[in-house]
Amino acid sequence: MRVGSPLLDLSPYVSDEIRKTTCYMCACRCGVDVHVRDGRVRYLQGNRDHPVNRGVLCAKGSAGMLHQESPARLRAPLLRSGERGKGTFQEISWDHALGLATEWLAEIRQSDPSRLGFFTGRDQSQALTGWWAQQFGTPNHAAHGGFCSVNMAAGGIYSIGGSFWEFGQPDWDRTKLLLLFGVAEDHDSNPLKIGLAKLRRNGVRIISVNPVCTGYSAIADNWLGITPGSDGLLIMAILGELLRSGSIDAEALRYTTNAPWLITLDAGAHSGLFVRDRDGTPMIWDAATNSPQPHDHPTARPHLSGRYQLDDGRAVTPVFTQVVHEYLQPCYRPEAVAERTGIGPATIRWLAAEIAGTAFGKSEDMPLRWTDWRGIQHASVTSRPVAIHAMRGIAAHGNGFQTCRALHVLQMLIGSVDAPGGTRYKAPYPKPVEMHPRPSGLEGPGLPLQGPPLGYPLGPEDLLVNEDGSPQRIDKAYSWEAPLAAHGLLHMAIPNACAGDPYDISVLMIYMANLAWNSSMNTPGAMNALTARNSDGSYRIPRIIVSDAFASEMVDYADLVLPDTTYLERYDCISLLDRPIGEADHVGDAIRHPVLQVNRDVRPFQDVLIDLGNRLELPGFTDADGTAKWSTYREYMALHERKPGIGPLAGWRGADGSQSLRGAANPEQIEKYIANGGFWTAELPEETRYYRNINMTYQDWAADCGLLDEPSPFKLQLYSEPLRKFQLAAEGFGPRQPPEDLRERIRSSFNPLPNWYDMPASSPEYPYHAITQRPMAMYHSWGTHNPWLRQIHSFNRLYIPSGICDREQLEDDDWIWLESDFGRIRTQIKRMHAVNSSTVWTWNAIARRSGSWRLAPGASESRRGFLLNHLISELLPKRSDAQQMMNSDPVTGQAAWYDLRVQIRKAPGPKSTGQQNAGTQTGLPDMEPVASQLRYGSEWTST
Amino acid sequence: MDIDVTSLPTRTEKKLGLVIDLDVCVGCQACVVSCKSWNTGGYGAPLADTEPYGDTPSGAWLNRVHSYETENYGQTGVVHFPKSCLHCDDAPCVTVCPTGASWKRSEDGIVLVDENKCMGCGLCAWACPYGAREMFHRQVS
Repeated sequence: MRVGSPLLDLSPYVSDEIRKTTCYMCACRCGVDVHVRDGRVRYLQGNRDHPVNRGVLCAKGSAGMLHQESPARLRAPLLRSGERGKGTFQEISWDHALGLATEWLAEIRQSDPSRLGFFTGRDQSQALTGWWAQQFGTPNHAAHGGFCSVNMAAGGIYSIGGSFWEFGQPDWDRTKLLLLFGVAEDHDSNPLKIGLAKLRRNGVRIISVNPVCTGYSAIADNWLGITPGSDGLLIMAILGELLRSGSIDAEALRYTTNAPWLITLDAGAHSGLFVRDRDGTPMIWDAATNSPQPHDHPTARPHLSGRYQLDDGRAVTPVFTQVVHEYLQPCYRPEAVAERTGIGPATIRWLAAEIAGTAFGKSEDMPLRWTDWRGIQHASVTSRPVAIHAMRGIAAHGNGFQTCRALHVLQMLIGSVDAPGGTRYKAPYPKPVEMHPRPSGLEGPGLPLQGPPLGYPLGPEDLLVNEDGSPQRIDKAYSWEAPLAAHGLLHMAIPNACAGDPYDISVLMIYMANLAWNSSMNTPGAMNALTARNSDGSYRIPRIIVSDAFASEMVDYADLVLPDTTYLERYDCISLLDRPIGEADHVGDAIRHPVLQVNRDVRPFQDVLIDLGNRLELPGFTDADGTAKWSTYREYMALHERKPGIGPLAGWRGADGSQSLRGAANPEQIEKYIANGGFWTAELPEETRYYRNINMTYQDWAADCGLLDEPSPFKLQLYSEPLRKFQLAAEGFGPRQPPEDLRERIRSSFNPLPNWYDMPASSPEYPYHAITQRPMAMYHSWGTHNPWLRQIHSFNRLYIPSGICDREQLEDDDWIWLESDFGRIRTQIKRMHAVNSSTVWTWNAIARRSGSWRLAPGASESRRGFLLNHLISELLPKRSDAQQMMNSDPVTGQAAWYDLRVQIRKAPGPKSTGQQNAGTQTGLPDMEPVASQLRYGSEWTST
Repeated sequence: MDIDVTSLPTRTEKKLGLVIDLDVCVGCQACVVSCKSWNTGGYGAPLADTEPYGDTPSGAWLNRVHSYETENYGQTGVVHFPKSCLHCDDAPCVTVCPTGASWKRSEDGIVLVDENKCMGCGLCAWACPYGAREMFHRQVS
């Protein structure tokens, strides 16, 4: 039989309009082209002109339309009508909701603003939320960084004034070797995928150090399955090998780092601090004059080694001698670290040789005119083509801060920081730690803070502690227990508020943070704390305000729900004041704007926050007579000035929109952004693109265009004096002294050169490490109510190395009890070879509390999904002196997720995770019906 | 031009296919979701999903990424393998189709489905060696 060849419409009608905005299916800030048809999203496409993703869009971004039409979307403000945590609410009007919130907040602002705890999740409005907290007057503000990767950020800022991801990137075009350490595959994934593909096709070696071989590691030339928590040890062994073989960039060390700075060797209050001249400038020993000179002396040639005596008799030595001494210790020899790291001595030596051979053997000179901090003109830059990218895997440990610092020391030794082929700063970085603010503490009733609540301490004098050493913040950030807590400690807010430790609070306000489930350590404890009561029956945490767009686990625990919009329905500001979209060669920022109309009684939280600021007549938000400055976030984005000429957005400033970075506010600014595809960028001149910390051509340009207040060249900090100051306090020097029971902890964890220390020994009963890995197609809780994404990850299994399976007699699909010293959960397993031999792992944040996010109570996420959070306490086991420390890095307070130790037992019985005994969440009032079948796009198809 | 049911064109002017570089595939699933979202509202019928918010969601996709563990000379690793229609020369989904719904275009070798001729027998899905052809049954009220 013959039939006609069908006629095909090869150019079907796609959409009525393409609106360009910024994605928010995760935190990467990619540009998206939203194809809108009949007021709905027909298709989402990467914006090819966008500097972040250049047209690439991930699975999450492509599934955004189902996020937009999720039945879990909240519909109106809600007021709790029954017991907290039972999901009983009544819908109320916005006037009623905002009136209540204002009443609760106004009372505490006038009595004690620190009784407000205001914590946010993975939001990108921290420039607004932090500033709001500052004007309200509470120091108790933080976003989710302390819970995520503050070790990476703080380790970088204290070392090189930059870091990875938002602070820096591999020089994809010129690198000849890429090292990945503990990289989470959902962060910055589109730029990384573009870059990794480029390297593969250019034949550039990629080495991935990660306990688990998934995504990026799968295409690496070499995957090193390291044992969790030992990355620092491996890096320090490499440092030793580089020093032993002389594979260092002595000129870079001499002129771009503090390697030659003199430190005082004599015992006493100044021991280990830099030698400074009368102006306070750190000094070096000049070989030409054989005398101490300020480090920025234009013609001095600093010694890197030796021991010298000052006129006042003090014995001094350059930092570099300490570096050599530290990393040539026998404890860092490859043979000594092999057992703990799981990486053999020959592999470690090979790795060091690859690094050295590439950094120095494949180095090239590139012609480029630039002037350094001494005023010396150069005609070229020299590449050091070893790039590094690292993420939370190395950071979320009790030794994560020093591990992250060690990675920067490695970069400094080979001279690859912001060198061609190395890891380069993303604008507006670099910014040395001194350029960042110090944290601001409580001023008093009715008063704003003097500065932002979060910042970077330079010594014990900047801590937020009382006379008796007790913490001033509810999360104990900037206390002796977490002195450099640059992002706060989100994970301690609820447990501390419940315990009244260090004090009680009255209102907990949570934005976009799922603290009743996957964004807390000890999830059952967090749920209990949210409903705990005093003896009189009142709640331990008296008021809880939650803003979220969806029926998350956290919403159930609210007293007042302020429903947010989706990312396609609101304005947002991806600002230079916060976390912008700069790349190595350009500075930039971006916006979101409503590409769809809101069809529910919901409001963008940023608008709500401005409304509350106006109702509370907060300084900054209102004029002296109480008149509101802005009524919407959109107005704030265009008109607010943080400093004269500096606002949330850097593009199209000035009355006529002709100025960039600095200029008068421009009421037409937002239209300009929308017309340009939702973003603004400006190229860095070529001669400003390398060695930016000491490149005066960059410094002058940056100051000239308003990126910097003034030229501020600085040296990279191999040796961290702020850390030494804390150590000195622990040794008994200085007016501000740590509590006795923390002295030893601070002394041992604040080494001014990164050292490696292991976590407290776990009981032999718990022989295995347990970690999570982020899937690329799911972002925390955000994707689990998305029918397409949840088909890719609708439950998770525990992946167990073959050796352990053999030992424990386990087969695929068996059910086991996974037990820590804190709790146990039932999981289903799968055997795996490509994983560190003592490590079990699973995908992160797939599991849902039964009934949450409008999923069926029996959804696979609840029956077969599990969180490791249930096994991880926010506190460490009691010490011998009965003290209980936070399960956090002792330097920054970062949650030490990946220190978890477990054992495995076969579990006969029900084949279900049993919803982890979390009960079932009941529905919220008047939600949309849930469809039993989804035929997205059916109205646009022919059948 | 006319074509034979169950038969392939004797020759095609071009042989188009999709080049996938497994050497750079990290298994991110971007192609999987993007393809579904483009096509679900884009041609004959939506790529529907059952129990989208229920116990065990499932749906029709035009491609999927499978992951395999490998071992070479003692080195273990993982390979991500996106599987979509390869537009086979000898497309078994065409030769098995009793109605001509599954057909191969002589201009460029692309294998297509004409939903108007499909009676839903599922033979094509059985025949495809890559598991690329998926069925979605919908009750019409």
